[in-house]
Amino acid sequence: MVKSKATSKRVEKVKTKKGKRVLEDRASKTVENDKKALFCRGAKTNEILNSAMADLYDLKKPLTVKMDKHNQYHLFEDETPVVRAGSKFDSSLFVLASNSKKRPNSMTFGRTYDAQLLDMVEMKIVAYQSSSNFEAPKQTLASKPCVILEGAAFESDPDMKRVGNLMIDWFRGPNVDRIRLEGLETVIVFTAVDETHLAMRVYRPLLKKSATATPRVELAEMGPSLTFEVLRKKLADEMLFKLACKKPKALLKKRRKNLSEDVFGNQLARVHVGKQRTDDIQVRKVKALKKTPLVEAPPAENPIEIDED
Amino acid sequence: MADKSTTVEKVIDPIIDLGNLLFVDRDPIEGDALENLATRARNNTQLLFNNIWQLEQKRIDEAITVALPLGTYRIPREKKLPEKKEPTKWEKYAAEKGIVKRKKDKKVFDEVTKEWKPTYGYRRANDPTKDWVIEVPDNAEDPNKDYFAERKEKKKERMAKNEMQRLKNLARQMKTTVKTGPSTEKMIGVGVDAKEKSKQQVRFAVDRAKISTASAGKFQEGLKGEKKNIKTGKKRKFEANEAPVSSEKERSMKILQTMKAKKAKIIEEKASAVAGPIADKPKFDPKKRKSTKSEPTRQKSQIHRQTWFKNKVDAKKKGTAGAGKSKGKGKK
Repeated sequence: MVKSKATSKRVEKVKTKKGKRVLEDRASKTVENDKKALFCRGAKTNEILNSAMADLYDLKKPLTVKMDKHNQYHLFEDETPVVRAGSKFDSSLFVLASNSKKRPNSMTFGRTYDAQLLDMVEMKIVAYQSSSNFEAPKQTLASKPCVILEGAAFESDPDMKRVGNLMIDWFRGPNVDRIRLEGLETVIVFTAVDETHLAMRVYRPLLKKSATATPRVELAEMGPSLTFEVLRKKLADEMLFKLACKKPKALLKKRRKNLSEDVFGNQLARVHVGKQRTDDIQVRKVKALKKTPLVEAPPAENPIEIDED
Repeated sequence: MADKSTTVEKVIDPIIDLGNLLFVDRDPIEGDALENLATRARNNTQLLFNNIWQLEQKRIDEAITVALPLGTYRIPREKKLPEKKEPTKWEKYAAEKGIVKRKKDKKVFDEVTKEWKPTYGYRRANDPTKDWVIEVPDNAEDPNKDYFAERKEKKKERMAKNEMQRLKNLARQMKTTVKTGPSTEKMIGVGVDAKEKSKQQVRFAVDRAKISTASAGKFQEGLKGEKKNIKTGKKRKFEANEAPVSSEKERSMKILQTMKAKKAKIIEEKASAVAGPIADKPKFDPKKRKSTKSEPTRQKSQIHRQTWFKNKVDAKKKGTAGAGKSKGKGKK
């Protein structure tokens, strides 16, 4: 996929202020907006898929866009329609649910970068329990969840590692710089059972008193509870992924020269002091310090005053 | 008695990214991974929370909050890195001269109506287009000139000039040039105009017409000295079924190169349609002014909107709510 650089600029003038704002919001930025997720129904869905989608939708709200009609998308043959829909709704994450004889109860999670597909993984739901089956109160809207990954496969298997990255990207919620401690309401745990199986559990942490300053955490399962089997995947090659992960220069910390830190956290720096020109520095003007000319000048009508600074 | 400890032991140091509230447990799972999910999750959450509670706390409106550091986990971006925008010609000049943009107030006081009105836009203060009289200058060459029309004309010209400058700036940013003059883009579905056909194109057209009879042109007589129908049908050529990959690769690379080298074109004629043409406008004739119908007429709905708005403003001044007729009047 090659896109001309220049085509990204629009020639036509924006006609309305609102339109201008929308375009500005969608433009590429140094600090990006939170990624939105597109929930898309495939050619056929069943009750399990619909319910699972609704649960995930609640988990992801309000960073969501829904396409509620059935779409004849077969992403592993042609991924363009969902990518196009994503750029239309400005959402770079997507999930497509579809049920077929060959691949029953499958959900395809994916993400895009710069209006092209980055990663996509198709997973079959092996076990499912809806969040309505659990009694724990559900999370408040737009709260930031904690994400936990466990299992050796996330470390050892490169594909599974990427799937783990995708899941983090998908479920990490909005970017925030400050969080209320009581607002930690969701913990999403992904467990790599083996190279092809993935378990997703959602808990609500309950903070109990403890002997220390940090509370003792107990968990109550909140749902949904899903166990997936990874079927097909289309993952970006290392080059594209590296390009997508590139950080803008403005965000990188500039290394300061001649500055180091010792083990105690003290800053050590070398300072250069320029040559001090003691002759030119302005000091107190005292008559005694005045330079007297070596040869006395002949008395003129307009005596020239020499001011030595 | 419930366990109250908050310590959790890990063999391998986990990856903790507090910016994303992320915890990656690197310990191998013993036994069946689907068992003890809850206990493992609890331990990991405990460890993550221990780290979160270590952060600097601050009370804001009865709630204890912590500042999260920047995320460290590598997550791909959504869009490309923003490109550096090249400054416009004015921006360059302003930077050189040290001219700083000054913000104007959104509203200004209108001395005539004694009201605060928008500086720009609809119902603005000191609107020159709303003047009902223009003083004819003493040294006017032609006192009968329509100064209203002149003012409008000048405004249009300024708009067109501005649009052109915008396009030029854009072209400079895209590193192309603005194409002026009539568009040479081919119209889709429209044939070449007969006047613009080349000799060969005319020839082909004649030949095609000749064979387009019921008898496929068998009995068509040629003109005196006319050449025989030249065969114009092009034979399609196919690549060999078996060919070295290198040539194929070369071919596709060539296509890629041409695609890459393509630059966006700015066609002035199309883009500046908003502002309207500058040059070829009929010269203004004061006598003809009333007869020309090209001027935009005020729509009825527009007039209604204005009166409605005026009523609303008047009503606000009087202190009654709602615009136009107030329904509560009859009850009094």
